[in-house]
Amino acid sequence: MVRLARLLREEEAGSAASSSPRSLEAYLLGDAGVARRRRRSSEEKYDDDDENGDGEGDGQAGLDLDARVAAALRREVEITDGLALFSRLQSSVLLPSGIETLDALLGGGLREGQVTELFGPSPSGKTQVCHCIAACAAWLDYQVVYITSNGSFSSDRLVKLSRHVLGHFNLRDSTEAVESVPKILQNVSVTSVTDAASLAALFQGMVESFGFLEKHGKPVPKVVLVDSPSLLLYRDLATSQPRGKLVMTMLTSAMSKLAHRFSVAVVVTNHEVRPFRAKAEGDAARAGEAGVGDGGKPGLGILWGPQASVRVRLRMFRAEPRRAGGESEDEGLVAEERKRERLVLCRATLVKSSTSESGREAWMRMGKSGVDGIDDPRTSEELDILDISAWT
Amino acid sequence: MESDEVEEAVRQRLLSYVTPHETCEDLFARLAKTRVDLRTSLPFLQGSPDHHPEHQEQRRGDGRLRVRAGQVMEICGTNDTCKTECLLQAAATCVLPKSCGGCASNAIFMEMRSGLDPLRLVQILDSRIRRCQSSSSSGSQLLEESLRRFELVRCYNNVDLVCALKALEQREREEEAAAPSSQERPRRRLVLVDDISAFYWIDKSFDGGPGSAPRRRPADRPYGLQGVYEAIASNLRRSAEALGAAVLATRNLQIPPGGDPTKLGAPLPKAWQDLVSQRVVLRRPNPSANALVASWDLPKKPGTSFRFAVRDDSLEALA
Repeated sequence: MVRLARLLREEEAGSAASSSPRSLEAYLLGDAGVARRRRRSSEEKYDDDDENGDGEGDGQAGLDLDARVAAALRREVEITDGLALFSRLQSSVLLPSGIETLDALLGGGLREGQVTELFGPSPSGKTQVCHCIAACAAWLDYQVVYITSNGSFSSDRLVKLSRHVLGHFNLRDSTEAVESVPKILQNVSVTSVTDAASLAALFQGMVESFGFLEKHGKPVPKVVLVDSPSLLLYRDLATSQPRGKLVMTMLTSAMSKLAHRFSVAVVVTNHEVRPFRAKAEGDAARAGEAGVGDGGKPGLGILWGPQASVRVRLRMFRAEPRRAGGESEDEGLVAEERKRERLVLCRATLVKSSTSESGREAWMRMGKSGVDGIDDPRTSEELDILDISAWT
Repeated sequence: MESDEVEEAVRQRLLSYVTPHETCEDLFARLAKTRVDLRTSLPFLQGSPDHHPEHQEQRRGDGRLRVRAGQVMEICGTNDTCKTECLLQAAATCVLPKSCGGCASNAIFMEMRSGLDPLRLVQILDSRIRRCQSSSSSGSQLLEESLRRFELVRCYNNVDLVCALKALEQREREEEAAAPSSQERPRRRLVLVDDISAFYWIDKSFDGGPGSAPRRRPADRPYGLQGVYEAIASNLRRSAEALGAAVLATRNLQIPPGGDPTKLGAPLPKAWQDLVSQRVVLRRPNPSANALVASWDLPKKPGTSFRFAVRDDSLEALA
């Protein structure tokens, strides 16, 4: 809330009218009344030229105030040129996520200044992808903020993934790997929140503190990950709808303000909702049939929808090497072997993007040591793909 | 007394159209200066399809917006119906030079929702310039020239929007005072507002709280939904009239996807609705296909709807 007095002080206001409102908002809202008064006074000027009654004096003071406020606002409001936007775009960084196929899906990586949303049922690999992004950004010497609501941050996993990411960047050299692990951990700060209002307050606080950091020349965090604000928001939406919507709108506006002002890549996770189906789908567990038309939508409803610029849907699959034919001998041993060779795959589908067409897919393999991008496994002959998401 | 108040209200409305002691000739001359005739490339702004079928061929693809300065055309739709895309296409047509099919005038984009992707704007401009030029060196120059005509203002809440509108009006006044009839002054013919309903829920939460009873002096009124939209409406009208620009605004109808889009969701306050002179509703019947349907709500044209798809450089009208 900007105080009108502060604005006018720059204009060297001599004596503010006694009826002047105390805050800028009240001035702006009362503007309609002022305009009406002014019109009446200008009309009175035509009728009787010699009368200088109190009405005109008040109108004149009102006009002066208007002029001064307008001039002060003219200097405060920032109007950006298209060319400045373009140069900012050209100097912006595409943050790699550490998984090549996901980067290709996103058009090179995460764009700074945008909010990216990853949604999917549980489990679908959202937290793994978040850890991967954090590890990659920390390795590239960017500060990372990881906000979790369900205790999902695991520093062991982060360290494992960072070793994997180093291998990805062709740095298998052990000394450099060992030295950089503490550096990576230092670049990541973790917070946990327990309700949506404090999450919104946290983002608003971050806007201020990032401004501070920028002013003093310290590095501003480049990536902010929020693992599942949906749990927190659902709690608020369930207790009181208007309050839940208010908190959600505050949170989304704080996130987009942070992303835009400080060129931060914000990554958010969300769960998936499906329309209630009367009949179970039965054996439609093969990936080929469960393609795009399986109707899962991001949770948190229509108010949450507009805030993400890029939306990616994740879904987990299990792959087993195909059975070679009738094998009657020793079923137990064969089953054990197959279990060991089982792979966990994750499919990412681009659902919303401002620059490319949606529907493209990327596949990843989630392993114990790291997350790799792979080619579409449905084309390979050796693997059986099974859908292991919660609803089949 | 009641009749006095009614007379007063009628008088105020008349005064908003006519200044005192003006002849009819002056009135028409004044109004003629405020006409805006812009090429946007929005496919649903064609001339009416039933008159003059022989002219329809040359009018198609033009998407002319013929309004008076200060009138608002509203584009409504639920999530993911390419409303921001429509605004970007209109902005691109506005800033491109005449040789590439544009209007060569400035466009001001007031962004409330951070939905503007500069990369998408550059993509549109670039592909359109490529379509009508062959050499690339002048192409980049044209791109720069077009980008220079595009202006962006970011607003983080509704009060910021009001401040920005006042600042725009003031800038126009200052420029006019400095060089009254210079031809080189940039002419701002289009004001685009992305998502006028972005902060609806935040401002609505102020209603019904303590002290929200109507007060006599508007300056005493506490912050509330009606007041802030009244301020937006009056300032938008004033700024657009001062700039001589038409206004395109988007509104997100917050209705669930299965709902009926003709019911238009929660209405914005009356002050805003009085300002809107045309309204189009966009729908996406099939969520995964690239086909959108536009139907007119104000003025209502039942039975006619326009189908279009989003391409790299323009909105292509489908049959």
